[in-house]
Amino acid sequence: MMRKLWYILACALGVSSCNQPFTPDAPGNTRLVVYSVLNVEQGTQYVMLQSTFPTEPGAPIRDATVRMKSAGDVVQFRDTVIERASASGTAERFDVYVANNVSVKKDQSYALEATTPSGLFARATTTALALPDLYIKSPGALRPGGKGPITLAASFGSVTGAWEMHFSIEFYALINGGWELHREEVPLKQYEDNAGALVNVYSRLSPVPGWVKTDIPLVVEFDTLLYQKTRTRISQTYPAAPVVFIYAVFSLTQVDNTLYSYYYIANGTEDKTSIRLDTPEFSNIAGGVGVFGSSARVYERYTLRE
Amino acid sequence: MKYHFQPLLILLGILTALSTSAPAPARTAVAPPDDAPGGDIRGIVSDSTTGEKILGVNVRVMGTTRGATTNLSGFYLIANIPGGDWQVVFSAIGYERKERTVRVKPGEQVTVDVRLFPRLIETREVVVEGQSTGALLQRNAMVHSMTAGEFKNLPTSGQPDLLRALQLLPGITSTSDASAKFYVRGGAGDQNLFLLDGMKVYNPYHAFGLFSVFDPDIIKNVDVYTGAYPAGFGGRLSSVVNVTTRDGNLNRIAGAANMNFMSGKLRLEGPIADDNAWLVNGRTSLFSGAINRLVPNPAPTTFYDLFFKGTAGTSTGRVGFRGYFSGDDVRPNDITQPDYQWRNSAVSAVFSSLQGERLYFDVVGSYARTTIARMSKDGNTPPATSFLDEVSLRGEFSLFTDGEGTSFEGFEFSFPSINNSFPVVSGGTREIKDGQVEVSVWYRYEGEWGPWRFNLGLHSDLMLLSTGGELLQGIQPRVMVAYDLGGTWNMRLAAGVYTQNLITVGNEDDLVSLFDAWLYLPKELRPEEAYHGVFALEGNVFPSLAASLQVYGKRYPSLTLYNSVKVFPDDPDYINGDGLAYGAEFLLRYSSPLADLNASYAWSRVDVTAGGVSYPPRYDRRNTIKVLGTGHILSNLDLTLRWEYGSGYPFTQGEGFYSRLTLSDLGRDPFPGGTTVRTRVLGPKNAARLPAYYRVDAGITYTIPLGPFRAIFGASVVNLSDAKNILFYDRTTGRTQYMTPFFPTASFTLEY
Repeated sequence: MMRKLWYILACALGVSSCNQPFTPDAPGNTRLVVYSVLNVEQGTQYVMLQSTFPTEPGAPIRDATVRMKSAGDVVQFRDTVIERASASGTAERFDVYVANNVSVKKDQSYALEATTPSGLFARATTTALALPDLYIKSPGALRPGGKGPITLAASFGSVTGAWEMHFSIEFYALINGGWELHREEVPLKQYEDNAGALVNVYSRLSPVPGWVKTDIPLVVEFDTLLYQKTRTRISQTYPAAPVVFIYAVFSLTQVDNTLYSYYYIANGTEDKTSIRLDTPEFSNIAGGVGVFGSSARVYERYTLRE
Repeated sequence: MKYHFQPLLILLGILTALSTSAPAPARTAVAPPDDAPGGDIRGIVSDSTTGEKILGVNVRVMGTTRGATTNLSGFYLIANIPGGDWQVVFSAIGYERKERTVRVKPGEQVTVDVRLFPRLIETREVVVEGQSTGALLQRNAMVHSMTAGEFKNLPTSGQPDLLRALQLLPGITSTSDASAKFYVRGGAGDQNLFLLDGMKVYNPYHAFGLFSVFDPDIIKNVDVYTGAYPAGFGGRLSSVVNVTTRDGNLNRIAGAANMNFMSGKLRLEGPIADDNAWLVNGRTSLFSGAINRLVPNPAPTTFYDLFFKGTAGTSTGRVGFRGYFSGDDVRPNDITQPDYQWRNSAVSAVFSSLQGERLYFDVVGSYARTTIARMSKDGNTPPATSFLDEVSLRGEFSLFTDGEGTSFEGFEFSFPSINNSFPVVSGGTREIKDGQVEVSVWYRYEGEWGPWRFNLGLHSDLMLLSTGGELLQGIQPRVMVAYDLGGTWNMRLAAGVYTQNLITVGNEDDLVSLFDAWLYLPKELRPEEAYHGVFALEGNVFPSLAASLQVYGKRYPSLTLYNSVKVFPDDPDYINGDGLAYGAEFLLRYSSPLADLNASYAWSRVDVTAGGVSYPPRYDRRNTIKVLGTGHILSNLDLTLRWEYGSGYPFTQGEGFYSRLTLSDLGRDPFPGGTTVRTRVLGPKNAARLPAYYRVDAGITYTIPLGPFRAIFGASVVNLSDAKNILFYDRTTGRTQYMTPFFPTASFTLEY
């Protein structure tokens, strides 16, 4: 019996000593990263295409086949590099796929497909949003000496996930002997921080309240005092000559639920009261990551020039 | 050899002719027929050396088919035996068989109390579960019964432990060496019901799960139901671990002291007067550094537990009280890691008695409190705390009928109250308080009909019924039918419906979950629900070799799972999902005077679906082989070897990184821009598998008399081959943490 036991022990030890390799990462499973926001009010659409990488980002993906299909129509995107002004005002170059003269129809479904020369494939769909409605309810508040809040009413399509509104003043200022067109944003609110400095608050994407319907619009108010203060500050900034105020411009952007979900996660605004500690992830790209969503924007202008 | 396969042939015949088969004729009784009402034989069976009441003694009236099994109080009753002189046989594993001649007079009750002598030289008789104790109570249930002696000498990493021993059973797995938390047949870790003398234990783990709070020295018997358990148990979906403690020595003062690399303990027990006993048992950690070897990060750990019990016996019942207190403190050296504190306290009173002639009842009233606290060292984060208080009253009435059956009616009122406080990202805390009344009643009938045995019951959750639950959730059928195939072979079919209203907040993706606070299910979710079905075939292939095959299926129409697609604060944390588990388990048990062998193979599969995504949960182990061998080298020297193989658990593989655009200016510019954040890409959830798990443990125990004492020297080596079993992989640092390494330990016990 002892021999048998030792034999069993030896066999068990033999098998147990065989440590196996462990691969925490799937080898070579590269996926496409797709970003695209279908925009109803503009004819040019963009698709940004990247790939996942094991350690460091690789070179931009060239010569991919990028198509957008809808109701039998196929839009082909071309591979190019564009230059855009960044938030700091400097020019930035972007590797993107672009399609011009695209007529996006509201409430129509669009399927985006991307295939790389190496065989990576990703697909996603979105539904184009209808343009929202926006009108100024209290134009008198924008006039010199106007009182009361500047009130706007906004109506959205049914698939809207979130909205954001901005109020800017367009004006001409005399700079170095020439008149230049400029734009300055009016904050939604203002508060004093702990150091006593004034902090401007601007609109951020927010979910559309459930009670908002086509016939029950969302009402947004801007503070007339902040508007007047902005005008005063503009005038003080350009003292060479009286500033010519042209327009009060209101823009209303709405995005679909998919885009808002991605935005919400990507900007670290997770549930701060949850007892859960996991970090959620969101993507609607089948076969890849990223997002393909839809947005729509309208502008409402009020002429300030008298 | 031909004889040993006969039952299989009989089984095939049974399966094809089941619809037309009639019950086999009852075995012929040699006693003369007597139309007059018979008399009852009843009594209490106890251990002759300690006076301890013995559970599960098989009591048979020779020459008839009549018999009974002793209950927790050692009580038995065989009703309606015709008048005359009868030979009554008392038998139990580990005890000498005893026969008594009993004179039964019609219409009268005869009390026959018996003391059984422990076998000095154990004849190794192997019988499969249920057959071992012979009669109704256990033969009619899908249960593994274990005594403390079966797991006290297993090789361990410090403490002999009940829950670690249970993991030797097929169908029970654990996801790590560092946790005694286990998973039964594809059920989650919070789906197991722990009962200590009828009291619910919500946190049965010591040292963040390294071992359980059940000290083997206080345990008389453990019944483990791995599925399709009978009416009388409710509130959990997967399994029941029903622990019965010892009463204490009724004959003399006795005690034991033990010291090992991890702890020291002391047990004292003795009689007060006739049939009254007390028992006190305490453990405390001695070398917290030893635990550091067994866990991923150095974390000085201290613990204690104290159990006391007093029991006064009567000729037909008993009354008693018991108390239980335990505590654990973990203070990691890493200042970024929080400290943890666990506390358990429970007191209960029990009363059991024969009322009238044939009605026996057990009532347990208890109060229990479980607390957990997690405290950050920086002082800036509020502590996370969890308090669970419960007052409960549980009773069961056994009515012995004239026929070969017993009916059981029971009730349970419990009033759990939960008060949790969780720190949240915003800096404050979120309080979750909930208190509910839980009322359940049940009826169960256990009987025999020729070769058929059955256990039919209904378990009703009255509160679920009253709050709009579905009928099948409120009134849960539990059925077990067994057929004796001849010899020792029998087959069983069992099924049942089960619900659960409490879950732990610990993420099942966590390998070692330290803050397992209990929560009531969110009101908007369905209760968790499971349907069990089990088929079993068991018997002896040879007199010394028993075999068991069990095939099971578990459907979860409703599970509460993390909402993996939660994005917004208004989205629920938990959603309803569903699941399916199925598998087969094969068990062989060999026993001889020289060696014992217990070998099992289990194949299982479980998938859950939540939010449209199906995946195998973290604890889905497909193949498991467990072998436990004990060689009785000398009469006082045992050598034990344990080997376990488990196929790899699922995990989610990384698939590299991507530059995630924040699209932070989306409201002003739809161009896909903004800053980029390097973000990890994960593959399909739990689609990959960790390497297989291997482990060999060896242990030796040597017992010598030392005057009035008995000294037991023990030595163990855990993970003899130093196998690198993965505990977790830190994706951030790329570090792989392994489970328990090669770890030798020793212990010394002095018993009086």
